[in-house]
Amino acid sequence: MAQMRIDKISYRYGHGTPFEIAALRDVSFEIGEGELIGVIGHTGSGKSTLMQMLNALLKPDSGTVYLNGADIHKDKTSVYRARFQVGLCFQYPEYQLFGETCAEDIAFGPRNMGLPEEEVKARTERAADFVRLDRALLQRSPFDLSGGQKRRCAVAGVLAMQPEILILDEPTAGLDPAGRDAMISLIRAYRQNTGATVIFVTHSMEIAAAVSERILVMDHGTLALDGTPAEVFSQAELLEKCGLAPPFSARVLSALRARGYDAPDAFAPEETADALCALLRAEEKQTVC
Amino acid sequence: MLKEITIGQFFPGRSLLHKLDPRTKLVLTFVYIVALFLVRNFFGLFLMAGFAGLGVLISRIPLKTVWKSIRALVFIVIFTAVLQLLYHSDGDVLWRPFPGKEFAVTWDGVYSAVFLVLRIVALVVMSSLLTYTTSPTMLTDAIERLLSPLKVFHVKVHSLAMMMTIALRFIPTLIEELDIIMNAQKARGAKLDAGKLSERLKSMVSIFIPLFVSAFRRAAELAVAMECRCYTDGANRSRLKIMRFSRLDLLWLFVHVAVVFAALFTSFYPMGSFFLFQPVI
Repeated sequence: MAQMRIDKISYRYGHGTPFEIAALRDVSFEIGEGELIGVIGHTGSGKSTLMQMLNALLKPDSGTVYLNGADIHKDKTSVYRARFQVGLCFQYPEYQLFGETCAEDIAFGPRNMGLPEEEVKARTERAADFVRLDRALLQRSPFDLSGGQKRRCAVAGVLAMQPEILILDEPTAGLDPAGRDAMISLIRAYRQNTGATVIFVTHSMEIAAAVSERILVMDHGTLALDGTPAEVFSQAELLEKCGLAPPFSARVLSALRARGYDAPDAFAPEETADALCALLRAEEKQTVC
Repeated sequence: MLKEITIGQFFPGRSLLHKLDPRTKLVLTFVYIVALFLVRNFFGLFLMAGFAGLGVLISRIPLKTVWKSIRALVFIVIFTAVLQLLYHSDGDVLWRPFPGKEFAVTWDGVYSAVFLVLRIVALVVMSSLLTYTTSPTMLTDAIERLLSPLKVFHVKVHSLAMMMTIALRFIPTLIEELDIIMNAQKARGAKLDAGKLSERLKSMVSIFIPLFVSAFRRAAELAVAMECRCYTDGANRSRLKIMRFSRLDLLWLFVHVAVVFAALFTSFYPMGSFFLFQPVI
């Protein structure tokens, strides 16, 4: 059974006002346990709305979201439980910090879960270690931290709830390359250590291609594409219709293929580099012969 | 959820009322409201209320939208009407709800209830017409211009207007921000609408601290941005939209003043027909 099943959900913002817009239209898909899913789509395609459906922050106008086989909007307790089972980390989470100390802030989620105090403390420290936030910083105010540290502190606040499904809305937005790489390896490590399902929204095709095992493409509130990175990025035309383009490295290879070179399908920059090296070497050999 | 709140409730359009100089609208609305409280008979009141209705028709604002702003005051309207019915003992008795008691509902009470309800409704309709047809920025511009004579007394009119404009401009932004922060804390299990009071208070803290922090951050950023563009206060600023008192304004001014005058004239020179009946207020 799928861990999560999204069944024909639709949602409109601003019901009955002149500013009404359809944010989601008849979206259906399933999420299996332990999947690593990237969600892409241009601005306003409904990505963030969809993410808020998954942890019951928004209630679909029609359709149902099932978590482990049960409707998450069945009653108040099921909604509340879903919030802890499905951890959602918003875009720019550092703007949501409020605690007197970082430890306080990270402990907010676990405390709301009603865990005993020792467990809360243990989880707080574990989450801080996990995001590589120095333990010495735990007793400092979150507003004293640097931008990157703030972001990690905020992510730790979600991780400390130990969700079965972790959702991150643009976790790498506004980070420098080093911060971005650190965030990506953090996502990977969380999944490896806990076996949790991880879903992340990104604007970067490169990251989506390099990190995810499955990609969902949103377009005008509908699910336009759903498949492995190879499947999704081979549909260049459809992607373009959605206002997207395959990652640059993939376009280099497909351009080479179009000129008759035997270039493989690869999406991560590293793989592309390897493929290019192999091609160049083969070329060299030919000219030598 | 919160996104649906609109402040200033501007309703874009191209009607006559939209095109008027905001200063004209502001002053005339003020005159209208004052006149509404001076009118003392039904003839005058009907004239005034009818004029507000005409304004709604001209502005092409959907009746549903206008109804919404009236609905917001439904409680006050009912409360006023009931009070009026209770506190008038003169005139022909209409109904004695408690047999044997002095208390009675009289025609006088009914008249003044209707009168006051109509007055409130006309007031709400006319003032929401102003905010429906004028964007908040234009409104503050108009206020600035109307207050500019105060400069003589060294009142910083421009600064005041600028502050108002900025405040109005950032209300939707902050509401959006509030929405995000609320959702983010709800995602971490914050109890905003249920649970013990102490828990709820704690959850409130988790929302207001980030909101204040972000408001200050925005204020600082805006100040820097304005300074970078060499913003100085007041003197010799040109504007994108220049307010002009046009012929349309003159026309509207004329109609408006005529209606108000007619209403007030009959109020102070009663001629004794039913419509000119003066309720005891």
